Amino acid sequence: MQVYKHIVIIFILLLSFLSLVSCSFHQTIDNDQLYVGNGAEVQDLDPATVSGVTEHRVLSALFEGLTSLDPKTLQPIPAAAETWEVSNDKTVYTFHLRSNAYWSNGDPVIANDFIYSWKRILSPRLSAEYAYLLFCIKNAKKYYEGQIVNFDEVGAKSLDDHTLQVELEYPTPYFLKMQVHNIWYPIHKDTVEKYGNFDERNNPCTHAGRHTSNGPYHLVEWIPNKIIRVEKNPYYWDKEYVSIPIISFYPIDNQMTEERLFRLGYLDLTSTIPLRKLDYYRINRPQSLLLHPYIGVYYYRLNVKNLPLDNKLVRKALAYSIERSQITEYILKGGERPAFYYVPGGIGSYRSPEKIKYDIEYAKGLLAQAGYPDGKNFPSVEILFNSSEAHKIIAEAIQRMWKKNLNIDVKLLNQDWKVYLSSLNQLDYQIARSAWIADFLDPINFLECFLSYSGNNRTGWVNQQFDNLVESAYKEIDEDKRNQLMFQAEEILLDELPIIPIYFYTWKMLISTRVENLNPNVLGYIHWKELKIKE
Amino acid sequence: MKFGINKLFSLLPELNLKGRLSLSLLILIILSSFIFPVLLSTSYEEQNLQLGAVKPSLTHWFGTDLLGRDLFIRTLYGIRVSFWVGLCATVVALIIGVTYGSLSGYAGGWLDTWMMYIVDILYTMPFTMFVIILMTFFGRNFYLLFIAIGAVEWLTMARIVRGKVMSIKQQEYIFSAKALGFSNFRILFKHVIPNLMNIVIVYTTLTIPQVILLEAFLSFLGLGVQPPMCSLGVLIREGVEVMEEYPWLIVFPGIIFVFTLLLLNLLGDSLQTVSNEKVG
Amino acid sequence: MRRYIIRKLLLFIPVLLAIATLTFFLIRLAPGGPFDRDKNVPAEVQQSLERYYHLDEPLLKQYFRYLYGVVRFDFGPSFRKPGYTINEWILMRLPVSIELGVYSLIFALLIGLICGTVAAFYQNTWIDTILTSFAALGICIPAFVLGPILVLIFALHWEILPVAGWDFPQQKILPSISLGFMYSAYIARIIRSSIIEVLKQDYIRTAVAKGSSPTRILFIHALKGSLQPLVTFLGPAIAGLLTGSFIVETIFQIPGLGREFVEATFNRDYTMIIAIVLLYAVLILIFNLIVDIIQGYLDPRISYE
Repeated sequence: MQVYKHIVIIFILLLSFLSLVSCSFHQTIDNDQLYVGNGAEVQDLDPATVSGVTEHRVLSALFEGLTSLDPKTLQPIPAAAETWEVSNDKTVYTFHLRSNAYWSNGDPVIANDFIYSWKRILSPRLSAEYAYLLFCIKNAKKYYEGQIVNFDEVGAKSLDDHTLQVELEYPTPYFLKMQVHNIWYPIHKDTVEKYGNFDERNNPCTHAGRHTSNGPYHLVEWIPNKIIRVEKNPYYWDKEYVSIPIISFYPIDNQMTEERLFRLGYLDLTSTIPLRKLDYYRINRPQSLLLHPYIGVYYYRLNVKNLPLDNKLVRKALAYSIERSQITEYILKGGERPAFYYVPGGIGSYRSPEKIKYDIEYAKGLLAQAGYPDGKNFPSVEILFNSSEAHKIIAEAIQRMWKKNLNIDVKLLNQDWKVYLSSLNQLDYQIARSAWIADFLDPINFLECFLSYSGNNRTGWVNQQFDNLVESAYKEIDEDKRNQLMFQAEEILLDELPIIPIYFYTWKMLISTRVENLNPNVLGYIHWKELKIKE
Repeated sequence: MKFGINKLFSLLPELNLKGRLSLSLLILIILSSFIFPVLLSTSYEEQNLQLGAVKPSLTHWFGTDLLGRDLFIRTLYGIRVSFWVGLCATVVALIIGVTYGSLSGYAGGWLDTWMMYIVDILYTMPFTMFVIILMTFFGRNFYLLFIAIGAVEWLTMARIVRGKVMSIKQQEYIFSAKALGFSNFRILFKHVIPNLMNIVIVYTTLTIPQVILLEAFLSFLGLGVQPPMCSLGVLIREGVEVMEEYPWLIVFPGIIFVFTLLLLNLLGDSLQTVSNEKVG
Repeated sequence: MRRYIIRKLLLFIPVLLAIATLTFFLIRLAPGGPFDRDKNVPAEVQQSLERYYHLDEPLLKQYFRYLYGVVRFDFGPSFRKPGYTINEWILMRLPVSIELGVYSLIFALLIGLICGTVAAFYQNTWIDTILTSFAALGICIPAFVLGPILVLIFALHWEILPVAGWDFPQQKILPSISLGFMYSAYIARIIRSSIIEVLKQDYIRTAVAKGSSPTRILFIHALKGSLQPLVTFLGPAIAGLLTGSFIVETIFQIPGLGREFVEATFNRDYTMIIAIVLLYAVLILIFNLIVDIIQGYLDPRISYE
């Protein structure tokens, strides 16, 4: 029996060890700190080279562009620039920078910081993926392509330290609204050049302790895959207004984990909310659930070079036989709106033509007209989507609907994200799931994707009339006329249907009750300096 | 395979209780995965969006998933797919392993040394990583899955077979066959390989659960079999995501998965015991 | 002995070369590049990116350029995370994976040793039956089933342990158990059968006859005898723990290398993929070598020829 006794002792020791470490742990919640779940780990904190929403969330706390957007009205408001003038033909903008704006190391923010940043982005060697957003500046594109060598010929000039003049290629009505995009942020020259070359991609100047920013916050800690902590910038011009002293961003790419951490009180804001949790929050904690329309559209691309989708009637039949409300109500459940047109609502004064309907009989007629009565002899068609549970469920539902309504068999194919992208680019698909989230707040950003020469077209669809309309919208100054041109363009798109819009996104997020003044908007844009923590 | 099946049947009567029990339960599970879908005449794809996920009841024994699909039927299909993957990949492993191992063992000499040297090298490769790379890049292909998994699992088989062949080679009947002037090829296939069957059967039953486990591992990372097909691994992955709200979606596939593996392992164990006793 | 080790170490070179080559060409054959995005990347940007990372050169040239870098332990910049080099990145994340592996191993050894010994000592009693069934079941419960269930029970239902993270000791319990559980079952089996084997030996019977205490017999003789099969098992087990951490790191949001590998694969971060594969290969090789050496000490019959 002696062995038995020893073993019992070992067991007891083990258990007591486990219970010692497992005593309940609760992170202390500071009243002066905001805890934010931020989805995936950021690629970098250099505003020039990053492209994602995740990065923008952090960068918008660290940097400030020339103008910002009023979180309620989404109209441009002064930020780094105190005032500005626009020439009559809307092609020359003169910005007057604040004399009391400083970098987080105390240096003043001057006009050349902006120009330096843009010059850096327009240097091909840096390979900034969003460089083309700057192409609205006069000669920027030519400089990027090497046709101009001297940067002085590009339409951005520093009249003095606090006056910046930007000359545009053509009137760009959304120019001021675009300034919230991180590609327009200024950058601190000395910091960049201290740790690497001016146009070097792998520049370690973004690490904590080196990072210099001009926004309401500055970087104090960045441990990849663990935390990004920012503190109030002591040199920020509007520092009295900034209410929350510290914001901690946690990269949590697993939605379930993020939601659990929120539920247990470790997070104040999340990047999203898992589908299955919507009902729980709706019933138990409605005040924590934020659902707001968002400028993104989920749609199916059709390869118009491919049989049977080269036939407009077939495309129409497919588009008219999807019961979108079933998808939004029973699958998505997050207040998404069924998409009967392409450009999401809520962008300025633009209204889309509502052309698509749910009409099975009409769709059946179209299919018969196309030579496939009751789905007979319909060639095999495949829906391609990138591997993800959410896309799979929607594809399966649509597959069923087409079977039920049109009696056609559709196969599903999922591919890894990168393989899927290369299939899209090579038009190696029949039907593919896609989405577009606006880069800036203007309908043109949605429509220009389907210009025949746009790299985002990826459907093989070419329509000269559509191209003409979008191009004239680029140059039109008058708002009503411009809206009219875009309306006509969208009508053509919805008549030809190289894409089938399915639903419009919602901005889904969890927000703790101690956070105030968030002001949700269609851009999903969080104005960090406006946020407050309730005592 | 004639030899293989004969051998298998010759092993069966000698199985111990544990082995017999697990074998009968396994057969029961596989049979029911074919019979019930026919009896209940519901498709594993049939959706009912309005219904959504409901608790187990008399109409839906295991409940339904988010799209209102019957989980019982889906689990049965999952068992089928998992077994199918397990079996096919094991056959791939078997073919490569037995051929390689017996060639190496029969040839002997420097060829044997080198062939085993290659196996040693392959053993140290981080294969799981290669399978992940392969399935991500070229994957979502049912057949590639077999080949990828089979290519990982053949190494052990090759080693064991080689050892066995080495010992068979010393048997007298091989010497006499050689003396009679039979070709090496004939000796290998007529006399050596049939005598390997005992050990091959044992390791096949032990490899199948390994393969099922690996497939589930890949499915959990989203790299296993693809929709509309579903394996047990896929069901577990789907279940894990919603286990708080709809626990039955993880509980049933999870239990069935663990139970199936357990039965396969027990069967393998007792087969091993039997064949060891036979030899010893 | 020393010659044996040197020979084994020399063997590493062709193995690693083979792995590097295989991985390099495998990932280059794959469709989709590291810079493909949802929104189209303009052709000029794509080109200059490729030029920057030397992806526009002939493949063989890239291959030799890469090998030359590897020889100097320079794995180059990460394509995905421009702010850090691969070396910095790996140094940040490898310790986490190793820590997780070590805790899991400790857990597996602790539970496995205890259960195995108890079962062996009470062979063929109800205690043995329970423990053996536990072990048989344990090897069938992989981390991706156990992990979520543990989270459900301990973190969400009872709220006594954290859901995720890797900062505090409490956060490390569930991941280590999830990862180590299966191995504890294996170890219990090995220990049990080898102790039973040892207990049959003559010298144990002599010791018992001489009146040595059972504890002494257990710890001095029986466990010593079971060390050898245990060490043999631990070689592949450590490799398994390393690769098994992919899933556990995903479930518990642990910033380790396994998760990084899966992400890098999805993102086509070429340099990162090869670097991690090579690193894991080196670790596996080293552990195998250590196992070989220990085996040599434990069992002098093994010759190093």
